[in-house]
Amino acid sequence: MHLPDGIVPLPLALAGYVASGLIAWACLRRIERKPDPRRELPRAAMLTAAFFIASLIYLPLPPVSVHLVLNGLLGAVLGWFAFPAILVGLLLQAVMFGHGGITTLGLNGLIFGLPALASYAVFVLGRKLSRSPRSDALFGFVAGAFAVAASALLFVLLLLWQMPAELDSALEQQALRVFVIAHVPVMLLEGLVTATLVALFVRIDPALLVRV
Amino acid sequence: MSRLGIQAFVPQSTGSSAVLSRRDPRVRIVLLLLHAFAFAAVSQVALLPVLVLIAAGVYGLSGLAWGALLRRLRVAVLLIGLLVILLPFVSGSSVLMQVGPVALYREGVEAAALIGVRFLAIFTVANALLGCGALFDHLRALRALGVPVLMTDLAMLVVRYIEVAHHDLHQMHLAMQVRGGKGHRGGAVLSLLSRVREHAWLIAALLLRSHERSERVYSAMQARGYGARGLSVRMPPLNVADLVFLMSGGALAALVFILEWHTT
Repeated sequence: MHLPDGIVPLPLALAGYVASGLIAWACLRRIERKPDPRRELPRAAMLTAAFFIASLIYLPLPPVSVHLVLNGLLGAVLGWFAFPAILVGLLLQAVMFGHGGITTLGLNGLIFGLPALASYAVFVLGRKLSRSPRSDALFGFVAGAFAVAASALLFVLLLLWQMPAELDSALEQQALRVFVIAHVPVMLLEGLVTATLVALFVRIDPALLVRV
Repeated sequence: MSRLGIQAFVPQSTGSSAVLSRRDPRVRIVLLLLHAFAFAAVSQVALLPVLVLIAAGVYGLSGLAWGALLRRLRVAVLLIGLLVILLPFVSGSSVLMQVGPVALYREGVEAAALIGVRFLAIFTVANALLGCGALFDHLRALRALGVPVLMTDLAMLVVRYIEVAHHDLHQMHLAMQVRGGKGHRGGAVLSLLSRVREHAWLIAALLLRSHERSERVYSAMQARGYGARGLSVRMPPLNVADLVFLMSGGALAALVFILEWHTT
């Protein structure tokens, strides 16, 4: 779900950088308002490194195996740090593995980062409404599944928007349909994993989740 | 479970005496951005040979092996490869060739060539410029170029602890196997659910361990004076050779913009 270099025209790539830059700036402002913003840094970094590695694990989803995105969980765990952490993760993926791209870093930041922030909001709202372990897991599921669905939708919309104008519109719609259907099991899987993890954290170490 | 050797993926320079290796990392980053965005601006097929020439020239200056570029390309090329193969057959109206129901369209071929060559040129230049120095030097350079300290410090700590997290995961996975974590009974759905739960526990253990470690890391950082005034590391000003190199590279990127503007 990473947009590579070469697909996106210059104006859109620049717009992606501007939008991502503004959102990252707003997130950093929020973080810097805390009494000791640097205290949060090692926690965010260790967890980002762990997420980076965890997203390389392939889960069996017959007939294929898929890797997790975990941006919903990232939102629920890192809160405002989720967006800068995703930008850092994407930069490292582009440099180390060639996933994504340099010109598309801003757009990829929006594809993964916006759903992570939305999941953070969903999760916080859910925990404010109810504090039972079951509702925590339920909102974890919603946050995890929603983040992947939103990322997939943003990705495919950006990709199809940039395809040549001559592309058959029926084919375009079919591609969109196939992509969305293919991501439904991934969405459910991601929701399931996020719900399991949230339920575990609530029981073992609630400090791992964002404070409400 | 993925097998991963993180270091194998970090671009490594083989020619420390190469022209690009001697340049300041700030110069390399600015040139990378200029060239990447100049290449992304190209919309005319006639300009594609210029991109290939510039990218090959920059890679030549890096002193890196071409084989290394091809190995890294194999990992990165999936989506682009799919588009480049499909577009000539599904996009366009001017038929170049037709065999039965399959037609090759001129517009599709042009779009595929543009996407493919732009990608290859940006990928090559990025590997050349970033492969010529240590990742930490480039992150320090980003800070010097105005990227917020919180972001660059976050990136440096992530790079530092990725290998540690990978080691932790490997150890925990082994421990899980030793304890018989691979025994899945029941039907396909039950087996899938138990595998999902097993992987979720593995991720949970990794995150919990990383969370615990962060407290110790913060204490260690404070003990070393992290965040104290007067301890910020400043980079020296660029020397004449760096400035000349920056201006020449910048002129080359500007040439691509001008050619694109003229041919459109």
